[in-house]
Amino acid sequence: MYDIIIIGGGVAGMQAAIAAKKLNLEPIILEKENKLGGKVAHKYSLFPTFSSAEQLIDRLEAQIIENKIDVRYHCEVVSIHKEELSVGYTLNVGDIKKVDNLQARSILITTGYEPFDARIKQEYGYQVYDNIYTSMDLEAMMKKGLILTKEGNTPESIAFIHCVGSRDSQIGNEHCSRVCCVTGVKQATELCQMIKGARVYNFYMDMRMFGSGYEEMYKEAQQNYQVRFIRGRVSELSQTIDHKVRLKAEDTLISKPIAITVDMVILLVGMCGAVNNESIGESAGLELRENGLFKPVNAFDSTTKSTVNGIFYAGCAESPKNISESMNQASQAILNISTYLESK
Amino acid sequence: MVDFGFSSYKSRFIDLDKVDTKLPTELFKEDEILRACIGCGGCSGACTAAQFTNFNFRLLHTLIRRGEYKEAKQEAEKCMLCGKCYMTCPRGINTRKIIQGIKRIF
Repeated sequence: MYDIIIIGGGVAGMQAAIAAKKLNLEPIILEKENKLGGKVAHKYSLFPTFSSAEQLIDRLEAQIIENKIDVRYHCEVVSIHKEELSVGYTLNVGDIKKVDNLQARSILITTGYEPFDARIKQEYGYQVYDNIYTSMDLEAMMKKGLILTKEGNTPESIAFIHCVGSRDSQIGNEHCSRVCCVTGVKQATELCQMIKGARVYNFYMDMRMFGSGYEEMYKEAQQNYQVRFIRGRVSELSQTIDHKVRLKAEDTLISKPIAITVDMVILLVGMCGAVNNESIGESAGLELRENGLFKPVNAFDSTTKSTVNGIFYAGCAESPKNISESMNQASQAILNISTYLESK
Repeated sequence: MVDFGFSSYKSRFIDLDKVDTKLPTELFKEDEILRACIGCGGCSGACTAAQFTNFNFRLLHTLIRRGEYKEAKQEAEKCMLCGKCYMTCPRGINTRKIIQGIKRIF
């Protein structure tokens, strides 16, 4: 029997598996996709260093292979049986769905997050108007090395909208997703680097540069790349006859309504709970936060512990985090799991 | 009167020690979430009246909260109560209720 089932092979899950092996514990990763890396694997570069996301995933994957860690792909976990500590999952290969379950001595939930579905903010017209993309879409475009409007032109003016799906009672997401601010700064900087002479605007409510090196990035975007930061939440977007996008907001620093027409708009989408969090939570009697992420025993010294014996959390499954925080919490979770297993 | 080429201005300073918070507190009763406004300007960005007048809901209620409510009622009259601001407010503040409250209280 495995010591730990790790649900989700993102950066938190991978780090947890590697840490577990170092403590001579036997982990298995259940990953729903056909590769490891989770959301980070879909990113082009990482803040605050602008280093390659792929390289990080490759480094972690090399350790997964080196440590002969078992990984099962295409496994979507839908439930947890808390008495026998087993997980119920569907093996999705093509159209074939096979239901199965797996038992272990402990379970670590590293299901990460689901990006906010920008279509819900109807006033932003995502997938209704042309040339409106999410921050995830932009990462994919950057990966391909092609930043083009729908008409196939290089955009000369781009506007970022912060807090899409975060800090918003209208759609029921009260929380701050934390990393969108710095993602906006990173992507704005990269667009300035990739597109010579690009005019880039960031419409923000508050700039929350919480991590080490983030504030420096913000200053550099202002100073060296002339990114224009405008303090105002965009009220609505509309399409012009030539497929550009018109934004309306208030420039709150001068108390005047402001409008601008740009070639492309990027919505900085926040973090929501992973799709199966609800069914997993319900089956195991785990408490979810209002934002769909898992609520730990307390917010200080037990962020990796759930209220159920033998079930632990790490990464964005517990609360919005950047990569280093997710990986640190994963190591912490393994330490807690090790203590738990020894006490049994 | 001899014009000496200079005049004196009323202090622009907001002295929070002297602000009467009774009336603003009265306004909060209309919708307590107003206290949680983050000043994002979504309301004033969406405002139909702001296109033609200098009406600004965010500024108006913020001034009131700082004790500057001499012209508040007159300002509130500019609002057409269309409710677009309510739809866009990330805190879900019932802006129309606040406008009606301003007209009643001040």
